[in-house]
Amino acid sequence: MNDGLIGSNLTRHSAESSERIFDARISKFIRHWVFRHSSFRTRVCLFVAILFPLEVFAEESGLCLTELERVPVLYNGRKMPLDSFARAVLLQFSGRQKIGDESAVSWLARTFFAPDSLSPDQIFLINHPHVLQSLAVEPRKRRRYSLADLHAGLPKLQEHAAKASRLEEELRSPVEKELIRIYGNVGMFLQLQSSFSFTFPHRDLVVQDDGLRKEMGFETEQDRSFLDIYGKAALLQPYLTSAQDMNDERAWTAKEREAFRLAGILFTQSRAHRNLAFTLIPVDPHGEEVWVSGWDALSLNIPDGALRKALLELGTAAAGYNAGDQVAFDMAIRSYRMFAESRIGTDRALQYMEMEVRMNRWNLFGRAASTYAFAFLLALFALLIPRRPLRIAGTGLILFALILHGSGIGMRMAVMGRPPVTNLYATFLFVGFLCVVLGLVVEWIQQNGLGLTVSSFSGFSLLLVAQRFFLDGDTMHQMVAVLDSNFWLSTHVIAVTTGYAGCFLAGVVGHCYLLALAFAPGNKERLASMYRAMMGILAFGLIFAFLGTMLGGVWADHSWGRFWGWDPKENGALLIVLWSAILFHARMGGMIRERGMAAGCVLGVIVVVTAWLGVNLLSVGLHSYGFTSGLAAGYYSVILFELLFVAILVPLAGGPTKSKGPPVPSD
Amino acid sequence: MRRCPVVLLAALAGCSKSDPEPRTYHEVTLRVEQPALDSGGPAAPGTGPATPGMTGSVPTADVGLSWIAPEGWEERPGSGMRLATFLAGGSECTISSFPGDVGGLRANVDRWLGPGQLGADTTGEDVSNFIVAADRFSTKGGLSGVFLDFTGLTGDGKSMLAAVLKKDDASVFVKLMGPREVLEQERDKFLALAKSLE
Amino acid sequence: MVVACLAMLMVLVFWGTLYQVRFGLFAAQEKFFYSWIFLQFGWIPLPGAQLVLAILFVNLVASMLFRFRFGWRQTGIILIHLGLMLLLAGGWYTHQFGEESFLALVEGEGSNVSSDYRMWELSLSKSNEVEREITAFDTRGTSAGTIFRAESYGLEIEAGIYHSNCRAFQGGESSNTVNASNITGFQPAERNKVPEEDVPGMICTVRDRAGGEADLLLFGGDPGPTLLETADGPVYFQLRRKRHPLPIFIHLVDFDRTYHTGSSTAKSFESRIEVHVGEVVREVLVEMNKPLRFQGYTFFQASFQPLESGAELSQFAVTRNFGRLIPYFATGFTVVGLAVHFLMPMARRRK
Repeated sequence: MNDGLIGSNLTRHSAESSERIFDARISKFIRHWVFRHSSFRTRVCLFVAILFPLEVFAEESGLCLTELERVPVLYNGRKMPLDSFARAVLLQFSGRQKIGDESAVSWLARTFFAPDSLSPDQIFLINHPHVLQSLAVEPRKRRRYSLADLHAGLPKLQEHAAKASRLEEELRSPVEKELIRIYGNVGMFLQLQSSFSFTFPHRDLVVQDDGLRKEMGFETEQDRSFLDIYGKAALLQPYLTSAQDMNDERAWTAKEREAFRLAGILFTQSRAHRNLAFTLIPVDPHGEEVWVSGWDALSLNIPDGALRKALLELGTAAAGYNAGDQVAFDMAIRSYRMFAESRIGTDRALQYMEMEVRMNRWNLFGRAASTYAFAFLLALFALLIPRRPLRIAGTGLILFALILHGSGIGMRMAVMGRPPVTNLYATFLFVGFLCVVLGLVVEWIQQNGLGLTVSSFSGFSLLLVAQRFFLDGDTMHQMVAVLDSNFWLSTHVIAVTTGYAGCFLAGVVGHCYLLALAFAPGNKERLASMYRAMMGILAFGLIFAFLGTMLGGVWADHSWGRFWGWDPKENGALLIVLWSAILFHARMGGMIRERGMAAGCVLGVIVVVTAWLGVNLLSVGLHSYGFTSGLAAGYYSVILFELLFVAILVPLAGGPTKSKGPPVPSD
Repeated sequence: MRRCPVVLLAALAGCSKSDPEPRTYHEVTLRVEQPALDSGGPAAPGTGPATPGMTGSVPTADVGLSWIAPEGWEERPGSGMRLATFLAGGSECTISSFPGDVGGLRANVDRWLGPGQLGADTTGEDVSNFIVAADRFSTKGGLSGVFLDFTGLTGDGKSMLAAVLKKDDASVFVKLMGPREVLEQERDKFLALAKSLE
Repeated sequence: MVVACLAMLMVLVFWGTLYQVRFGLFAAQEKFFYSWIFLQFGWIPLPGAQLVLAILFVNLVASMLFRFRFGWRQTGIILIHLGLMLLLAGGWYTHQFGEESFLALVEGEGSNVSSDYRMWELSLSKSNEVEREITAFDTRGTSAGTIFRAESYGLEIEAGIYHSNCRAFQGGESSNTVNASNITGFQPAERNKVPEEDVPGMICTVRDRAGGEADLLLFGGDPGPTLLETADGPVYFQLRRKRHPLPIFIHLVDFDRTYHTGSSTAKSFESRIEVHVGEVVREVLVEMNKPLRFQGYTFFQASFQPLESGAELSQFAVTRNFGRLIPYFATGFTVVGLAVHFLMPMARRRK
């Protein structure tokens, strides 16, 4: 590996002698530092093995929550493991899946079983400084605030949110939208805190009358929980009926008074906790499956022995958690889970809960993205020193990342039971996957490092963008009736995203081409091979974009009665087809040459991004705050970047005549 | 149907617009009487009607409060941290609960007197005196509270009656905001409501 | 030439899409996509999509006829262009001759006619029963002085006022017009972004054989027809959406919708209907993504509305498309052509 360093590549005829010296200097530098020690391959493997273990055995303080993670919960119409629910909720509040180092499910368990009315967990993300001002909250560096921070401003928050929600949605300012959002989040947090409060001992629920207490089977005079008293409600019943019969309150016995008092508290408490959002108990009141919270399950008063037992298990679990008793906690949760699973029966979601928990934990896409990034750096080295070992290492890394990436997509498919692309988030995952595969194919054909560069870059950038969409919450939500058709999802959507992948990748190669043309125009062979790659990929993209567009029309015709309606999504795909067709025709007609073609491909990235994201921007509106403004900003910056890139590099790349391609359509 | 080219030709051919020709067809339409018919406009394709969002009721901190609604006040269910809303003589009375002490009595009184709400012209000393002089009371359920009658501080326009109570770790606000005459009228019922909290 | 056309098409598509956001799909279609020429800023003539597509089509045909060498090598390109031609031709054909309408039925109702989205008609009938003969006139382009002649009814109807979109009101100064819902006048209104929402109104004079005359006021939102006694007998007049006769009678038995558990995301909509063809009756389930096809007509489950009375209204989209299958063929040709065109050189190089 150490020999033949001034390899054949450098002895190739190079018109620019300075280029040769430049290469030689760099290669000497790298040779000295990198190749001095043991085999590079082993080092790469070690690096990977250390940094990316799949199962993270992190030290979690407190109880181990693996049982709790797998409890099924119904959220947004989908049955998911509690782990996913915890992550989704924490994402919704704070934009992250962890608090510091604490996992989402650990936070949620604390919120359920040991709630603090002035909770110090910094979970509420507030971006807008005006909102902070109006709630009189001191700004924090990380922009996340706890209930303790916010509680002083809560009445004001409620009043403002109430006022803002009376306006029509379009008329609300960004501050008002933010206020409504935060109010909703705080409200939901308070609800989560009360989800298990029926298991906590309550000060008012002390059975003061000794006789009654003995009857109910309580030894000591201590605070009881709602669950405790509710379980003995039957015992109170005769006292209540006899009390009702006597109109004069003063004639009531002590027992009757106590029974009445307890019953009153039960009533008000259950009324205060109706319709909580955390629904984890499947019940079947009228033959139709409904999921309710613990409180609601109690107040529905269904004569179901197994259900009562399950609720008691929840109580035991809460006690176990607070006592730090791992065994008791696990056993109680497991019994509860078995109850829930028996109720759900043969739902598909159940079989894949385990997989979903693993998927959450492994963070496949994040790891794949980091690996792609590393591979990209390696590929850049490989471009400067075209040495086979570097390329092999790069290919190996990319393949490894691809496996992670592909497994992630595969697991999503399994859990959802659907083809790979069902929403915008998934399109980025899939397009990234395809770009990497295409890039590897190019590398296999050309063997010169170009494929590695473009594939690792695309994989990394697209997964990074996907991450932003992940923040919107649960990305495996149910499909709407209108789009619910597995066949068309697998054909049309996949074809179109393949088209996006092709045109996007061609754009990336176009960037490389223009850079090479500007800074190293002497290496004609490299330029030619880049150009061929670019054309091939663009052709691929065009075929699939066209096929996808037409299939979209066929789907529309088949299901809704009209083939083409000139609506934004259709138009977007059509723009890609038209642009690629323009490029090919212009080339054939001699209107542009290689340089123009590359510039056209780069501009094609704008078209792809417009088709991909433009629709969302149109419907959401271009002036909203919050996460979507990030989308608009990102979109415009991509456009600006590409325009600048072309504007600067094309003249720099020299060459005869006009070659900027057809004019960019402007509004 | 777009017969643009055809119409153009027709327009070019014959300068005068010809009167429409009748079509005949056999119609069989069975209608069922509906109490209120819509005008027959087509609904938007591909969607159902706009279903309201999944807000549901977002209750409060864990308080478990009950009260007795005064006679003649129409009660509505609450939402958010608002436990209940009443319609009292045309104005709105709300009961809300929040965790913690939400800034304390003084801060909230200042806020209510401030420009966004009552907009009363009072000095710091006026407010302190006002709070000190306010009636303290105890409810049926043993909660302690302060009754704040703002009609003395505001002019003749909009004013407010408020009761601030503490239950366990939470604060409960009962507020009736409206024109002065209504407040005078409903003051007794307001007090009765506040005192009935438990 | 081709490049210019394609570029222009791109501009139109992009511009039209942005325009749509503000002015609605229909307006954008009218201005950019279904027009031949449109005037920007009132006086700059720019080509509409129809013109551009037409030029492309002509260009395609011409290049096939005059410039191509028909050799093996050109198979790909030939297929591509054939496919595209077919696509454009099919599109134009469908556009010209296709019919789109809707049928809204409440559970228990039935009909053998569907309603047009945008066009209205003046309908006359001798009875108001379930089954009747209708004579109808299209009201497009109606203005003061338009005459509708109904020979079989012995009537001549002269339009006095016609508004494509208006609001009706009762009360005010009394007029001598006859109307079923006691409407006495109109206030013209601007056309809606969504033309489906326009409700027209008309005041006309009806003259019968015996020389009798009556002023009739018809509003698109009337719940029922207006009755006039004429020399030839009672006649029911109505201004309503244009009806398209269907080859079948559809009777809605039940509408059902299911949601994903515990959410408001709809999972499926379906209508159980009885289809009467002559004497034969069969029950069919029409759901989203699974339409009913019959004799060139296709019935799609489009949407629904729950009514105040608790019953549900199911709405079907009815289309009649003669060139339905053309795009399928066209796509096939073009894709194969593309594949061949790009893969052939690769195959040749491999050798």
